[in-house]
Amino acid sequence: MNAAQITIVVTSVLALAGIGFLAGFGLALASHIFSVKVDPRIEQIAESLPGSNCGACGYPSCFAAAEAIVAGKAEPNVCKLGGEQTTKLVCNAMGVKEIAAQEKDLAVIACGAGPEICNKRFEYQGEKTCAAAELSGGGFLECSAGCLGYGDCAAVCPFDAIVYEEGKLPKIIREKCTACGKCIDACPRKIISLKPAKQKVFVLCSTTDKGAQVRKYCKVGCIGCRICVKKCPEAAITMEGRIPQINPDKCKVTEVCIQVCPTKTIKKL
Amino acid sequence: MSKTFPGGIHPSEHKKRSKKEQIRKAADPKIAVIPLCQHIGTPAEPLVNVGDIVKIGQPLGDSERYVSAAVHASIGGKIIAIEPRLTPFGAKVLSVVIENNGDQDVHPSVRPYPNFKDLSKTDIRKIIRGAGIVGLGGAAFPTRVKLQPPPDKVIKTIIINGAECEPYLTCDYRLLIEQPKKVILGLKAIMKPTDALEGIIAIEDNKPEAITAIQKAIDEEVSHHNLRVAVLKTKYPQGAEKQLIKAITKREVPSGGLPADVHCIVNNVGTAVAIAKALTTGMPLIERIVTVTGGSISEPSNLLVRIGTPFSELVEQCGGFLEEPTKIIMGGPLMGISVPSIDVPVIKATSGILVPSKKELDDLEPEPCIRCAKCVDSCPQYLLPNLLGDASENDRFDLSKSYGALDCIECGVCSYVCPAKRNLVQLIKLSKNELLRKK
Repeated sequence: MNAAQITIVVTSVLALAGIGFLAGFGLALASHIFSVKVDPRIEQIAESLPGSNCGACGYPSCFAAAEAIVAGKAEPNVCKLGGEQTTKLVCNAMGVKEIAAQEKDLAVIACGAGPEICNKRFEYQGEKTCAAAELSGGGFLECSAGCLGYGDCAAVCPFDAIVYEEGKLPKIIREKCTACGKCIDACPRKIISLKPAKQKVFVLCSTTDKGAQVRKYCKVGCIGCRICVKKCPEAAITMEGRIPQINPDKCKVTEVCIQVCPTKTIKKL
Repeated sequence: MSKTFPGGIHPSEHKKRSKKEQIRKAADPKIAVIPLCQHIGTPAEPLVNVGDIVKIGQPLGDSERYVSAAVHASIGGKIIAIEPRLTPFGAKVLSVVIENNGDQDVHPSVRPYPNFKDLSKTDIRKIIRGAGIVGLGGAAFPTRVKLQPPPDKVIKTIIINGAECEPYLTCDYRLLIEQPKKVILGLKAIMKPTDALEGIIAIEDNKPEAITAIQKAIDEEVSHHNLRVAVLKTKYPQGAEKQLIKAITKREVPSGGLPADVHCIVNNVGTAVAIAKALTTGMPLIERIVTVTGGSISEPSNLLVRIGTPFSELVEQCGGFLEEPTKIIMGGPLMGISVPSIDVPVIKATSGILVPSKKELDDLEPEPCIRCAKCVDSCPQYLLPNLLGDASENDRFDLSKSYGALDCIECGVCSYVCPAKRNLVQLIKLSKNELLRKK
């Protein structure tokens, strides 16, 4: 290797090192000037949230919920899914006094019949989704509030909490349901609603028809006889419209209503 | 050369059964159920009470709202109930139930108007509004609204739609042959308030008798320089509004636009005749022509039916069923809807009652798309039904929108040609519904 070659090697090494140094300096400067200050609590809270991005809190993701908590737009107990433990972690991260977790909710399909039991007005042939069936002549069931049984709710459930077989009433698994509300939006008949998770006894019917009509097409539909209202020892049942409502705070699960209901509409889930 | 549009299909016509049957009057119903919402738009408010005695032509309901139509008593009798009753569309709609008492007197509000020539533009619009006339082709859009396009739109052409491209149906065909004069009068009545320059009666080339009859009627008119018959190629959906305009005027209705955007208004033959009747006799829309046909009907006929007559009574008057019906369709086989029960009443939109035999019905399970693109070739709206179907199946309604789902006219061509028997129109209808709901 002669002197000229050595010079080439040395100059190129120096030049590259120089460029590297300049670029590094530039980047360091840029990161200093343009740095975005992220509250370390956001990261910390986001980690303690369940991370399933279910949307039950009203925010599009767990990270967005964490941002909202830090910004003071949401309470530390905003995550219903996380329960006690998450609320505790979030409170600690925020450095605030621990508050009680929100009560958990549970999605309930207020229909006890489904296409197996309910009488059909006509045979439906077509796209096998509840939304499509509902659009064809207002659904194929005699009942305008009966489950159509094509499982639109099960298809959208992000937690596999809804078990469904075609043509049957879907079942919601209490342990898996996070009350995210996706099934409520998906149901074209609007018969799924959120109930407090501590509630054990439910009236499984959403009809708006009169009792005499209901009897004609459904064996398990509420006929509005009010016997449950009269017989409940805790006076936990009141009539709202045609359907009795159970107050979960008063209900002590005496199961009297389940026994007296002539159509077996009230069930323990 | 007959005019036409690109795309479309050639389904077998099945019109022979009822083509030669003269329109005959159906017996008045014993009990007429008249829904207060038979049209697109706001339901009418009831004007009568239970227990009232009504006469033929008496208004039963009306609405102040712009897109709405009045409803009238089609028979004389006592109102026995005003309650939600099942309509052909499957929903329960507030209806007036009249028990026939055989009274044939008409209500005093029904009286002939002065000569057509003496009527002003507003008079004609008022008469059409008061007579509760809606599009009788099947969509039942209030005609008065059609005749009052936005002031910035100039109307040049009025098209009377006598294409009747739906297989099986022959009600418009019979009207063209039997009452050509009324069709022409109806056309003139529509031309007057809209200041249209030209009136065209569009007929498919498989109805030569109708073309002759209308041509003769036009020639007999005193001034007929602005009236003509347009002969169209026999193809489905030739009678769809946008396709009809494209075929006749070569103008294309823009996406999301109205026929008025291309200076046209299209009305059905039945609507024209109803307008003519309202102008000459003052009688509101209380009856219409219904084709009762299909492989299960013993004597297919074209009947003049009072609104509110149950389907079952009409089937009886056509000799009853040949075999146990599996499906009863209101309208034609391609755009018609299956009705939930045979006891539903005839409404203003009932152009036909089709009861196909088991042989005529296809009961195939849908299978996955084989990417043959037949639907793409035949879609008269140049849409991509295969992709629209996929988008709808996967709940990607944002994609449906960008693929132009809202431009679909629901003609059913894609479902008809699909070798995999996919429920394409149903899927597109679903996404349309979803998109309109979110709007």
